[in-house]
Amino acid sequence: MRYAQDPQEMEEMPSEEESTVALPSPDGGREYYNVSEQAVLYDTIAVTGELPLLSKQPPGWFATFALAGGAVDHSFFNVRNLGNCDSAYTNMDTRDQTAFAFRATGLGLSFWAQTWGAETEVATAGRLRRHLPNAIWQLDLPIHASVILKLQQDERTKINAAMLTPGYGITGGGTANYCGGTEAETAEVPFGQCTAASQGIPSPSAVYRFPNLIDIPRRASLSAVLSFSEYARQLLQTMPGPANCPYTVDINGVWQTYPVFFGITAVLYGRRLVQQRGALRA
Amino acid sequence: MPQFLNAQEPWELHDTLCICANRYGSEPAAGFFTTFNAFAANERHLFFKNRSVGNTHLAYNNQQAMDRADFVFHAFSIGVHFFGPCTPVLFDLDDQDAIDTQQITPQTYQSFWLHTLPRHIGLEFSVGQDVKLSCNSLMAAPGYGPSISGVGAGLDGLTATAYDAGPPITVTPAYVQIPEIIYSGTQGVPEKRARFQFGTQREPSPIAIPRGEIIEVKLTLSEYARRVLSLFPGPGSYLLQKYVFDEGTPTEAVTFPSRFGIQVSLYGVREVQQRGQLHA
Repeated sequence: MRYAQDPQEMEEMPSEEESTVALPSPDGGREYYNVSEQAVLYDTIAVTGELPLLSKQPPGWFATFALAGGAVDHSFFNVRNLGNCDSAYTNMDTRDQTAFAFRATGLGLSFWAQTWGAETEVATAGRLRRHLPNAIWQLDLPIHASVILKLQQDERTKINAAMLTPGYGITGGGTANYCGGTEAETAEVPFGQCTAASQGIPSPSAVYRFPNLIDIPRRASLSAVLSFSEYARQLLQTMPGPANCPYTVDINGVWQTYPVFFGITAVLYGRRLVQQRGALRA
Repeated sequence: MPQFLNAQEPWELHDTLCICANRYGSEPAAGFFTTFNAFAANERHLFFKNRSVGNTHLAYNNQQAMDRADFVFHAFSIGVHFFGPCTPVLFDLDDQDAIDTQQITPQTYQSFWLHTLPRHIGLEFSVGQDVKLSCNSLMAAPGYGPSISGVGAGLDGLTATAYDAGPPITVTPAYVQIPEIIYSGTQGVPEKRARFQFGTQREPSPIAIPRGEIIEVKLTLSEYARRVLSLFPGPGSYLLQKYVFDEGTPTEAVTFPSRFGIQVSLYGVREVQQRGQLHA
């Protein structure tokens, strides 16, 4: 089968033949082959006041910004797995050793939060509200953080976190201020804003790519270590919350709220090498 | 002996889950929820399993068979699109099908659905018994969707007196309520190639799906997502007209149910025997 090709989109990837690895034959006769498949590895740290109420309480997650700011660094790919974290946030089968051989082509880091910027501690109209945490988290923090990608004993990448454009995200939104509630509350305007933010262009072509492939063996120790600058750590330790986002007013004029959630997701792009089930070779 | 060949045609497969107060036409209960609460009650939502063109409009599904591949298909990319109404100003009707005119509040669940929820959902794409892709649903961007958003300011519950201290505004009647916010967007960049590609442009390695094979896309909501969605009322209705401004009091409101949804699509090439041709 022939496929249309766009020269402008050419990328430095191994060919299918190059990335098909012959393994020692266990039965002395037939050859077993790993198949190269497009894949991602991702892992997430989060800050949410909801953490104590979650049935899975993933290690490395925090209930407050202050606690997150107190940590010296934050590790990805060697802390959580699908047993202690929902699949929305990680797809690691194993916690501290890679589950399969992986040829990494790029690394991305996504700082994300809810797009509705209003937060309140108390679900009642007229109380203190905050508007900045989600914007600071998504727009400012990446500039004040660094990442080291470690493979076995080697440091393969040391870089500013803002340079690791994630290659995905959201588009749209804008920023809106609006008055709300009853007449008595008009002094509180604006009480909310919508910010749809991404780091870089949320397109696969905009991910940070390694100049050369990084080959990660099966059962290797792998980690990406995120470290905030002293400025960022002080900022986080000063920032109250996360709290709750007001979303409506009931018939009695009482705000209803839901807990907000801040996260940082690290993504390794590349190809995994696996033996397909039921196939000697693909 | 004539030689029969399959013809290769660019094609896409899509399936959609909706949340809307009403179901229209023959829309099935499977995957067409009437409340966020009902949607959140299920941890996992399956695509390419429940719907076909027989029970769903072509806008939402283009499968002939509910749970089998209609033809040989080579999937080059996968995308998940979270869509919703173009405004967060949505209303829940009371028992008398009326809106509470005092409670005009932009609903955060619209922006939550479009831009926050995808972060809290895991995706698995399987062919037969093999899991071909495991990722966060936002990493499989749809490659289409609204590309601009309006920035608006909604004034709610203001009286002329209350606004005296601010910029002058002259609107009648005196009790002014102006819900005007347009907010929209999509996941990733609305450009065809901005999807999760199997392989690269130079070296595509499409997922081959045999005819009659089982394909499945499974979205798994995190516990946090389910908890938040279960809190939300709605999905609510558009307010198409609230006032007849010649009258001093609110009159009959014109509303229509808004519709939220998740659409999963596979872009690729299908292999079919063209009708009436020995080969294409």
